[in-house]
Amino acid sequence: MEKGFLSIVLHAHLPFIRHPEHEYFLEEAWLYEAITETYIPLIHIFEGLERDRVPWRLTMSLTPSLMSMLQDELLQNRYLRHLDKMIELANKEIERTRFQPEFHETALHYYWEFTRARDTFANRYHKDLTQAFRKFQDHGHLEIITCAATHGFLPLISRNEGTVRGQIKTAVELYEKVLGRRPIGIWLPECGYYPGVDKYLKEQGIRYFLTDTHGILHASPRPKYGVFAPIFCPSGVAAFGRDVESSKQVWSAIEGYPGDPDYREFYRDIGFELDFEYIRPYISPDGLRVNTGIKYHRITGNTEEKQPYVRGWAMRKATSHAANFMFNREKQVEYLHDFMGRKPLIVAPYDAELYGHWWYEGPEFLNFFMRKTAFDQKMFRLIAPSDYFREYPVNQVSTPCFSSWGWKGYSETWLSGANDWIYRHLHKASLRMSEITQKFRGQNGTVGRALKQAARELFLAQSSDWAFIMHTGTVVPYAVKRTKEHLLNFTRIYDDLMNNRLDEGWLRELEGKDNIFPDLDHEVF
Amino acid sequence: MALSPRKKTRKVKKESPKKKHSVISVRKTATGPVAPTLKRVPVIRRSASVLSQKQSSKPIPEDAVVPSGAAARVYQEIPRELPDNYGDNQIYLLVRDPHWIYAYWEVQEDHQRCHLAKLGGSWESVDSVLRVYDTTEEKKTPSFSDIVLQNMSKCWYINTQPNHSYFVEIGLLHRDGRFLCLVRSNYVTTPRSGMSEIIDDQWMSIDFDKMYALSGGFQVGKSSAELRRLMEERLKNAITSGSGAGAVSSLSSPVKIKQRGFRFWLECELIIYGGTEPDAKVTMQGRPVQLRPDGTFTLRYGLPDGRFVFDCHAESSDGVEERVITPIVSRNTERPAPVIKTGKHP
Repeated sequence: MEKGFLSIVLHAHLPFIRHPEHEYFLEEAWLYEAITETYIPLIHIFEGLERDRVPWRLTMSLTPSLMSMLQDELLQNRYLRHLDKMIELANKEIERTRFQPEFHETALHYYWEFTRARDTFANRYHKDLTQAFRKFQDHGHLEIITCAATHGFLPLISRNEGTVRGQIKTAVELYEKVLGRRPIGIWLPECGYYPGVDKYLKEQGIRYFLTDTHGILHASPRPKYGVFAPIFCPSGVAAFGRDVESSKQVWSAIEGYPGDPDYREFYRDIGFELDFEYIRPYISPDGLRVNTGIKYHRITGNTEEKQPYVRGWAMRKATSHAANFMFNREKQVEYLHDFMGRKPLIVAPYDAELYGHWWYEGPEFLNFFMRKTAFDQKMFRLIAPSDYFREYPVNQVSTPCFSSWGWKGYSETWLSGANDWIYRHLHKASLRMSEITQKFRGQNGTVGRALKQAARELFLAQSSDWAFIMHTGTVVPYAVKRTKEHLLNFTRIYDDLMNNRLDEGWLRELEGKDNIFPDLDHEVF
Repeated sequence: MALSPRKKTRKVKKESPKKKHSVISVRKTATGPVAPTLKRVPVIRRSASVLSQKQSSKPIPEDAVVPSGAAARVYQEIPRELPDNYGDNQIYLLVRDPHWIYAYWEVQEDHQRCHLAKLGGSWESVDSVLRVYDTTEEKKTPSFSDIVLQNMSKCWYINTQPNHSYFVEIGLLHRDGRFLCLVRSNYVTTPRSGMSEIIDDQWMSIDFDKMYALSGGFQVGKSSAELRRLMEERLKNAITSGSGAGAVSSLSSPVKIKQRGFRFWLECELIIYGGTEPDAKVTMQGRPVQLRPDGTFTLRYGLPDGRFVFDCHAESSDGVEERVITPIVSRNTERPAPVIKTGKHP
């Protein structure tokens, strides 16, 4: 009999980026890279586990904006076009490296990975990867949880009830449409929790959410089992807290696995290194060099002289890291079990895109870890958070503390000098959304469509990603543009509705462009 | 980053409202009956680069640009900036962390003037203040402190205590202590920054300090912050892989000599090209070569140091004739030690 449980939770999210008005759009590549390097590799690993009848359990959040993009026909076709280019490039690379054996093996590896990805994407799942994930959930291995509709950071946009209720309800409805059931859990965007938000989760039948460590530890009354057991909010919705130790092993700069010298170096990409004329068809059409995803070097160490990547060494390292991670969890569980007098649950949440996209060997690490855990130890069992209640239906009632998993643990990342200007506009728009919903309630036709589009624009403006990007200072102009554009679109619909002068042509154009949540129910506002 | 706005705080008890206060931050002007405080279209602090820097002296109602009933083509003139002012009288609080809350507001000129009239109508004897009420202890009258507002400020970060409750008002404070509220905010409670003082007996037969430590509690400020910063940096790098090319390329420069930031690298590639009949079969090192429709072909190889024999065969489509061409290429790279020209140092 096991002495405890481990829940690995991968949070898969990308903001809704879709620009039909441009033939090529740089930021759309975030999705393509994540598909090739994270989502498809994870699918391959899950398939392998099923093929080999490995008992496994993993939890993943697929955010509504990501699901919407994965199901969008335009983006599906663009991804395929992108992947075909990559296959073409990998093919050229096989030839180009024929006299450089130290790179040639890796070139073959990319060709194999890309062509396999193409087969998986186009032939086996007919361009809709959500259905791959659905299959693993239906088989009882993957627990898919939802997230707020557009990843709005709820503590800062909760000015009116309709906004929060809309973010949650819209998410749940999309989940049900795509995955054929209602979600049992939710990843609160950025783990942003404020007391009271659980009420809206309960309304939608959501049983649990995840918080950062201090969300549980600073709950009131004191949580007897720390982060190693969930607590029930007074509403009855459960909160699970992040374990620090297991996070640190993966992400710490010093102790973390992904920095190992044998792993692939992220920053050496042929998009930046090869002859311009040769690489030109595979970078931005305006000649801006970008990552292609083909990288030939390993981290090597703290040096600029990077050595060639050796896939075999990297795989061997991933197995030993998986073994180490398992060993540490065994020790942790054993110790906690004796101290608590109850089976501890260790919750280890990560950004999904960091597996594969950033830590190239991350998916293989998970693969080895889940296999070893199934067969080489008996100390703990992999479960999804919802499984915990079967073992322990009774848990302490306590109110979690306002928290997030952002920098410093609260709201600063999304509320600082770089981005605080957005809130007066976001709030005004959400109040106006409620106003026009009341005023035009029950109306169909163009007015109904305008109300729905207004809600879409509002949701898109609320994505925490824009504030995050403004804060980190990377692609700020794009984030500012997106925030303003959606707010201005919203405002125009509002003004047009109030003045009874809707422009149907313009509305139709907007519906085609910002086409997220086609079945959205705006009456929630 | 300027987290802490310049502010002047006074702890004032209700019992002594007439306590003399000093005004340092409001510049009084003698240009008219209405002082600049809170009156003009305000500057957005620290975000001027993202919003219009235009400082119109009149608030722009957002619907002013498109006259009602205007033809559709007027829509092309839709302002591509968000309005500076929505014409509301309101203030709203957001919680940033245990030690800071953020207030933003709008107060219209007529609303102020109307209240000012009740205090005598002269800005000379009145300050605009942000009054912060601490309502943590429910039974007591809330204590408050005043922040004298700068010209045209529209938002403020207010220093707070963890696990305290607050609301704020913007109002006019007369020299004689009278205070007229212009707008009042929502109520907020800051998060606690440590473990709760409330213990549930039914659930508390455990050494909680130890449980707290095992859960990583004493690392909350430090390690979770450190971790998250790392994750954010990773994500930041991850999502900029496309468009943050500037950042990425500077990090990914293959060879750097750090001291002077001078970079020089060189790679060698070999292009072999040729042509034959479009239906002929061409092989290089035994592998088939793809021909273009006109029978030409191009091969490109990374060329390391060494000697390479390129064995290229062409066979006619009827299989009768075969030809062989074998270029032999050798590369040898010399790397003399770098020269530092000392005389040219700036």
